[in-house]
Amino acid sequence: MDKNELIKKVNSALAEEFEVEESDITPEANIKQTLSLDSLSLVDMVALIEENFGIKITGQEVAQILTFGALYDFIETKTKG
Amino acid sequence: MNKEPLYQGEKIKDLIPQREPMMMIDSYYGGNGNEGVAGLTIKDNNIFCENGMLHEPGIVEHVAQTAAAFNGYNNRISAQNGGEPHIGYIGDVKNCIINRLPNVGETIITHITLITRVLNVGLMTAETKVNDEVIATCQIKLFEKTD
Repeated sequence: MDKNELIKKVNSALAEEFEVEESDITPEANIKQTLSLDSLSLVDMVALIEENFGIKITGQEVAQILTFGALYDFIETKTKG
Repeated sequence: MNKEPLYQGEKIKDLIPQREPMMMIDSYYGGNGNEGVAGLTIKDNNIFCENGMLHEPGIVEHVAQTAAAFNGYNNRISAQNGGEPHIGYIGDVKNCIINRLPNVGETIITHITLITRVLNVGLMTAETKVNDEVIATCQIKLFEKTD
């Protein structure tokens, strides 16, 4: 999967799960604000990404992922590893 | 799952912070790092029983306490936080399907599987059976208070 496909898959899954417009999901946008995440719903996002990409995300890792751009990069690195 | 409970009776209090009359598990069978199994034999003096059946709130509380026992057991075997059970809060319950209410005298067994955990919030699926009959399934999110 190339980076564009990865981004499309992430955006589509998140938009559907959290009922936001895909156009609101941009690399610079803050994840928590855009998806209206709190500490409880954050785990839903992690579960969604883990299920879709077959990776594990630790609490420490997710705390450092602030923007969608950082999320794309993280998934790309993990799936290549 | 072990055939014999690892914890039962008063020892359950080592795994969960709830006390009578709110204790909705009476046995814990262990599991691996991502799974846990607990049981409850339903008595007629259970506060969630009416007309000889354990009602929906009791089933959900039983599932939540199975999840809490899973956390408590893992804390004990890893000796984290002194191994003491933590107070947990139900974050939410989704996709809950209850096929039937269990009767007084029946034993319900709930199998919890951890989907993922982010810091102190665990997302789990639960399946509750009477013998081989699935009577309830749900997804539960449990917030564990650690301080």
